[in-house]
Amino acid sequence: MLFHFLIAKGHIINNLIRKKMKYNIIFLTITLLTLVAMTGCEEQKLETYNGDNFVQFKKKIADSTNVSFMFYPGKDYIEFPVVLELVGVASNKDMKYKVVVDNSYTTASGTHYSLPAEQIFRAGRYSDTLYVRLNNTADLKTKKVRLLLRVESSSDLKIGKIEQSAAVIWISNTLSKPAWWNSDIDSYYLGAYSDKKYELFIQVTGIFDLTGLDASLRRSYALQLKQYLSEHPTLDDNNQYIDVPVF
Amino acid sequence: MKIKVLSLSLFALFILTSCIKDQGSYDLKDLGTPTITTFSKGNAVIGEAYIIKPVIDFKGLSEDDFDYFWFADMSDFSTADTLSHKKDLSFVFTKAGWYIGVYQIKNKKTGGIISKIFDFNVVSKYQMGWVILSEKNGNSVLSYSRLNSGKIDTTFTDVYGSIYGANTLGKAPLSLGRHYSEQADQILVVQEGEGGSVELDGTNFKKVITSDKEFVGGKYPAGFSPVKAEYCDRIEMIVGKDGSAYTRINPGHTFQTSRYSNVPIANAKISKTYFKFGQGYILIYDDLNHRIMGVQDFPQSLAGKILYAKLDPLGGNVAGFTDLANMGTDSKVIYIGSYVVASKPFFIQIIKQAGKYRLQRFELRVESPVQTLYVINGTESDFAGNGIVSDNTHYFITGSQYLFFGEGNGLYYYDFDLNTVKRYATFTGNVTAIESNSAKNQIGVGLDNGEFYVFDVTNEVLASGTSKIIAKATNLGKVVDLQFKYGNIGNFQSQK
Repeated sequence: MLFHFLIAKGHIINNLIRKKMKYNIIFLTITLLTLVAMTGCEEQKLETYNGDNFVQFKKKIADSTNVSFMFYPGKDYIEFPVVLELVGVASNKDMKYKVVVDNSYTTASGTHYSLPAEQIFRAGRYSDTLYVRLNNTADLKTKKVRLLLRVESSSDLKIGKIEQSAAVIWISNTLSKPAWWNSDIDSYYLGAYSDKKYELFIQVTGIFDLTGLDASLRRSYALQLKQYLSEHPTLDDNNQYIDVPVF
Repeated sequence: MKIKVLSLSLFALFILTSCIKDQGSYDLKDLGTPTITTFSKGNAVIGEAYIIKPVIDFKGLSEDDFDYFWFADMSDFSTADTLSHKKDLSFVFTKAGWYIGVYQIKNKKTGGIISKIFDFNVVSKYQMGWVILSEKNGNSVLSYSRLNSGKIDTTFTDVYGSIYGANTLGKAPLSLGRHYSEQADQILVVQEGEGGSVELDGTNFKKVITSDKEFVGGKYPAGFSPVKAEYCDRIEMIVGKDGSAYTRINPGHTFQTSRYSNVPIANAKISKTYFKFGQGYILIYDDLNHRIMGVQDFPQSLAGKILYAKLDPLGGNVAGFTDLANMGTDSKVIYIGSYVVASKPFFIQIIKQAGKYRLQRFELRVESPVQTLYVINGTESDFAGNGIVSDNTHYFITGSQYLFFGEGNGLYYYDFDLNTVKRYATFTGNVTAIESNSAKNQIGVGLDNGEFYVFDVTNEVLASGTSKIIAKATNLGKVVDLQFKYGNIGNFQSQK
């Protein structure tokens, strides 16, 4: 009897245990689902960049710039544009930057250039321009001088990439053979390069760069020089008359 | 012993194998492919249906048992298109050129395919013929006499006006020019009035560009007003009313790929030009310095180079031959032309000196490095046409021994061999333009009364003493210029 009772009780207990476990599983499942649901509703805010901003020249220091006043006939000075770029997030307010002359590498004197007193990277921009005044002084006819600009940290902007933290500008009032005066130009348009010929070409055509021009334009400009030379025979530095091969 | 047994066994095995009847089914399945028995294709004409009706042996099957596919690809692969899915082709092409076509027939059940590859040209319906520029009530009128299988089949009077509207071409017409690509041509219509100088697409006569836009900078140099143009292999030259001339270098049978320089040929006032295919230079007469010059055409690296005529002291020029380098203020060049005798080209000039017309005949030898056209074997005599010709006579040399000229209402020809002039035809109007066909056995003559004639000028006809009209058109307006239309560079280069 007891045995039967115990057996019956055992069944009842087992049933109770099974039921309780079942409830536990259901409870656990609901709890987990609720947790998952709650977690899914939580708003996750993205962090925005709030670090430092940097300024640097657009050109690398290795890409020096040649400025010849031969390309600016009649100009006593020019405001030469030097492009700067911002690394970071564009600001909603103007930011001060600092570009100075590195005298350790500069051969230009104070008469050759001046930098603007106020150097501002305008709000909302990723690129801005520093206008350096370059003066056409008499000595530039006979020599070429070098100006090294360097970015320094300011309260608003720090120095960007090292290789873009400096810019070299060569200033002169003379000519040198440009890269576009290649063998094609030599053979079919302007002939062998000379400073005098290049100077005349600029004087006659008002053009100092044939890069990207099509054959018709190149021919036309070269013919302008040819026409000028036929009316005004001109000696080159080697005491030979300047000639151009274009037809 | 073992080897023998093994060898014998192998041999027996091969013998047995060869005797076994292969009962596999290796017969090829009949895919039911038909045969194209006749496939006639001609050239397609732009704007007209190009029809090909192949005759097909369907091998007992029905036409509906097959799928059809027509495809064409332009030879430069710029245009490829499926033309049709029907048995017979009917397709309207819009672009001239040489095409490669494919015709494919596929058995719907078996998938068996046969293909036919063919080539054909798509040509303008205005490809070859005569272009006549005339003036009617001050308006420019362009007409076209179409050549079909060597014969004029239709004259499209005022072809431009009929397509694009009457009196819309322009006003005050002066002259025609022509140049070519591999596929097509362009016609220059030079007009002094409204409309200006304009290039027309030779395949449909549609305006392409005005000449001012063909200059560097997109406008004429100050004071320039074109009167004619010469298009050569590489060099192209446009001449102004004031005698100024500007050149451009065409990289090779293309349109609008280069522009005229705005620097004129220096120190010259050009009043006459002459170019014939293969000549190598344009011959020009400089009225300012009374001299003959050349503008080199090829090679491209020398295109545009100015060549100066010079009497070769050892060149066999007869005494009294007027020096082409300095013809003097009392000489006026009326006409320049050339003809060939025994494959040797001779130039001729009609010049006027002291009220008389003189005929010069000479050869030229180019020495490009020294910019010289050496004049050799020059002869000069009074022209047999004196008493007939005037300063306004229109000349045309066919390239052989005959120099045709129109004076007033008469058409004459001068025979170089006989040194005689004969009247060939008489009209009710005055001759205003003369030109020859590709074979040089016909000449077109335009008149100021609106008539246009094409004459047979073969030796037989000339010898008969009676003119032979091949075609005639009327009511065209006062003809100011005419030219033979070759359609493409291939036809132009194959002219006699």
